[in-house]
Order: sequence, then structure tokens, then C-alpha cells
Amino acid sequence: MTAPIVVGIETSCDETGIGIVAGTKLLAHQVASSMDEHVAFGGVIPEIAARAHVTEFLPVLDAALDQAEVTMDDVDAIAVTAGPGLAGALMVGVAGAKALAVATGKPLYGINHLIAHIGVGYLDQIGTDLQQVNQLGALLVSGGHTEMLKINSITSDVELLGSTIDDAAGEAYDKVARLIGAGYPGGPVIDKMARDGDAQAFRFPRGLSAPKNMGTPDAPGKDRYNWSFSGLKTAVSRAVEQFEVRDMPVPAHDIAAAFQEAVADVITKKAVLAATEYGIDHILLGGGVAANSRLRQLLTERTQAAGIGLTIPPLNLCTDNGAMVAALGAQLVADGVTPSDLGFSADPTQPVGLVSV
Amino acid sequence: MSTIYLGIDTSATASAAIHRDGETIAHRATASHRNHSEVLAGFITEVLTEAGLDPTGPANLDGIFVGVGPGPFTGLRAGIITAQTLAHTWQVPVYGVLSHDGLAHRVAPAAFRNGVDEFIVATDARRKEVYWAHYDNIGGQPQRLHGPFVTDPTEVTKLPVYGAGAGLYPDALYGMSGYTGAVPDAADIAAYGSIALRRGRGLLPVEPQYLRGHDAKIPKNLR
Ligand SMILES: [Zn+2]
Repeated sequence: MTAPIVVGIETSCDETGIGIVAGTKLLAHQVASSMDEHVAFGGVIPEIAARAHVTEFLPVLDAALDQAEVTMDDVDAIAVTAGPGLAGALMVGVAGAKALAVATGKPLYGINHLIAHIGVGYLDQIGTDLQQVNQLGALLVSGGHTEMLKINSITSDVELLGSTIDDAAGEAYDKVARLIGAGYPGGPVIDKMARDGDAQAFRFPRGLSAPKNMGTPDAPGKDRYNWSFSGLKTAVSRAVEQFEVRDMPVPAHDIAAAFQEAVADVITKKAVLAATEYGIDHILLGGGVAANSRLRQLLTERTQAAGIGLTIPPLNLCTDNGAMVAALGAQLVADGVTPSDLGFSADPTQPVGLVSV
Repeated sequence: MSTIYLGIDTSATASAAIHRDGETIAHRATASHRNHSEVLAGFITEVLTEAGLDPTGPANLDGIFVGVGPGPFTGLRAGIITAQTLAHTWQVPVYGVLSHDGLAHRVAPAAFRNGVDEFIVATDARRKEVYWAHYDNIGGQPQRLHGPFVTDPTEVTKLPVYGAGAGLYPDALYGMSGYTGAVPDAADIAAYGSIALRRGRGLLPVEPQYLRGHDAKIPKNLR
């Protein structure tokens, strides 16, 4: 069969994303974001996001079809994020995708959002042939997730090596940005402030890094590859308070830099450790926090030192989008995976082990 | 000339129906209030097929009527995005019907026989509130006078009440026997919609009737 044309639909958070691929070739990539409406609240408000998806769904679909210069008749399959994500937001995309499948008779794949972040890496324009990689791993860091994954098969076998046990890294950024009055979203504002700060001014904790958490390679601790950002957030909060009670100006730039250093350090250290110990020789970075300059820098240094390859897709394919859903859909079609029954549910907590439902 | 419409409602339970020349010829509904996005696509395929229409290109389908609520948001959105997407793909018109207007259309003839000149349609809005609207009954044809509203049951105008709201709050609402569990349904949405379309009034834009804001508060330290 010629390269399957797949429409991918993503509504798990605040972006209404629809992308179209032909096999590994990206044909269209359209995203409408309700980000501006969440800024005043310092975080994504699920109900606002869900309402925006209803309004944006068809305009974004039309824009994608126009950009790809195809009609639904040309399409071979539809893929939609079934989970994980915000329940009300997921439901809009799932219901819309099912309607599209009913009305066109095209097969539908309800897919895993996290695996789609990896799927995007298979697009030609990323410039790395992941099929040639011996053992692929993926590090996903965003406002919603922080995971280290081992990809045995992108369509059927993905293993979770480590994840955050509390906040996602991006959430920690948002919370700390709020503490130091930096604005929202936290990632870009803290990254910018950190450039003028001294990362060594404070030594903030690296969660779950104590010997009892780590164990040894032979007897690994339960949290050897897991992250926790709640202690870090508390430490930042206490530091801010200590300046405030003394009526001293809060050194926001130094705090931002030291916080960012702690996050980037612990994420990259554990990701590279997991990769080394699981024989992973290439890491794909995904998620919005891939934009973070310090994370990119440290990850590049540490993977190089460990002899591990690294692929960082362009930022607009790292943040949530429909192209990644379409890209994974095309892999599923190519591998002959059975499409989803239209009775499937959106699953806000879909495990990584479930690539498609 | 024969007309065929698809009706959809997810303002309480999920339902789909085909309405041909004033009659419901295929119908599916679930009793659950929670699985709209799971069952709806299957229901639509089934009612179309049962009515002899091809789901991937129902020639002869004149349009879609969809219940726009009010109703619990997540379920309501499933029906609306479904109706919009089907209409867009099939290139047929889609019209919004207030879900309570559909239910009023169903109960009005019986209400008229019982001498009920004005009545309320009330449904569950969760959080100890009801969605409701106030109707005049003109010879068995409902005419909405006020609403829709979302309020505490005690604030509903004191009139006979049709709909599941009455079953939930029997102390506050005077429920009409036989109708205290009634919820909006696609068959009524299509029936009311096709009459409203002929009359040229009574239809709404295809947008959810939320009636409530999103409830999010701006955190103290961001004000
Ligand atoms: Zn994501």
C-alpha cells in the first residue's frame, strides 16, 4: 500500500491540534490554543479548554485539510488521542473523531498521547531515522507529564521506566513562576529570568536522589528512575518566604536559575542513568519543556558523554499537536494494527502500555 | 414531499433517532447519564442503517437537529460536536433545539388533556440545582415563556413540573405523575425541530447552553 494518509486529532489539554501525514511525510499541522484564556488563572482550566475545543474543532480540521490539499475522501484512517489527559477535553476530540469516522466510514484509532509524542519522531522532517536505532528511549517533559520510556515497538510495546510521582515538571515551573511573581506559563518566563541569575546561589533539592531511593544497579530502589518535584517547590517557597519575612527583596533571577538547574539536573541525570542501564542508545525528547534551554543543554552534554544519541524535534512538534497523533496513527496502519471499536472511552489515565485502544 | 431528519440529544442521557414525515422510524437511547461519547457513534450508525440510509453518505437526509441543553457539560458537548461534525462531513444543515423544548413538545398534549395551561420542564443540573424552563400550553403546543434557567429547586415558578428534576426534588417541585423521571430525547428533538423549521422560529444556534460559567477563580497571588 502507498503511504497511508492519516488525520490526527489531539484535544487532551489546551491545544486543539489536527495534523495530516502520508506515512512519515508531514502534510499539515494546525493548532489552535486556548492558552491566552488560561493565563489569568496561572494554569490550564479544564472547563475553559473543553469549551474551546468545541469551537475550534471544525475550523482546525478544515485548515488542516486545506493545508494538506486533501479531502476526507483521500484519507485512509483517522487517529485521535484517547488519553491520558483532561477528561472533558479528551471527550470533545474523541466524540468529534468518532463522528468523522461514522460519516466517512474510515477506520479510527484511539491512541495514547504519550506514545504520540514519540511517534512524531518518525516523521521525515525530524531528520533521524529512528528505525535504524538499536534501542530507542524517550524522555517526555511537559506541563502534564514527565516520563522516561523504553520503546521496544512504537505500535505495541512501550515500557515505562520512570515518571514523576507528584507534579509534572511543567507544573512545577508554573507553580514556582507564581511564587516569584514571574507570570504564566512558567517554563519560558523562568528560562528567561534564569539567564540573568546565578544557578549556584541556592542549592535546591533533587527529589528522590537519596541512596535509599536510588539503590544500586543490582538492587535498584523503587524510585531509581522516578522524579518528584514537590520537595523542590516547597524549598523554593521557603526561600522566598525567608526573604519576605526579613523585608528583603526576593532574588527572583537567582531563584529561577537555581530552580531550573535543579529540575534540569535531576531530569537529565535520571534519564541518562535509565538509558545506560537499559541499553538505550538513542533518546527522543518530547513535550513542551523540550523548549527549555538548560534542559536541552544538559541533556545534550550528558547523552554525548554517555555515548547516547539524541533527537530533539522542532518545538512546534514537541508541544501537543495533531501531527504527532497522525504520525503514530500512520505507524499503526503500516503495522496492520486493528482499528478501535467505536465504543471506546476516553481514558484520562490511559497507561503507556496501551498504545492504541 | 418526504423529509428525513436525524435527531441527537446528550443533555441528560444519550439518544439518536430518525424522524420521517412526522414519525420516529428508528430510535436508540441509553439510560446512563455518563457514557455519551461511547455509545453515540454506534447509535447513529444503527438508526441510519435501520432507516435504510447509508451512514457514509445519507442521500435524502434533510438535516440534523441536536439538543443544545442545558445539561451537564461533558455529555452535552459530545452530542453537539458529533452533530456539527456529521453535518459538516455530509454537507447537510444542522439546527440547535433547546433540549427542554423537545421534552415540552412531548408532554404538552397530555398536559393539555389534563387541563394544565402552564407548566415547567425541569431536569437535573447536579450541585443541588435544576435546569428549567416555563411553558405556556396552547392547545397541546408548548410555547416557552421564560428560561432556560439553572437555579435551586425552590426558586422554580410554582406550576406543575414535567421532567426528572421533579423526581429528584419532590418537596420543592410539584411533579406530574408519570413524568417525574422524564429526560430529553432525540426523538422529541427531531419532532419539535422539524415543526420549528417549518414555522421558521424556535431553533437555536448549535452551541452548548451552558448557563453556568467555568467556575475558575483567579488565584489570590495573581490578582
Ligand atoms: Zn503532551
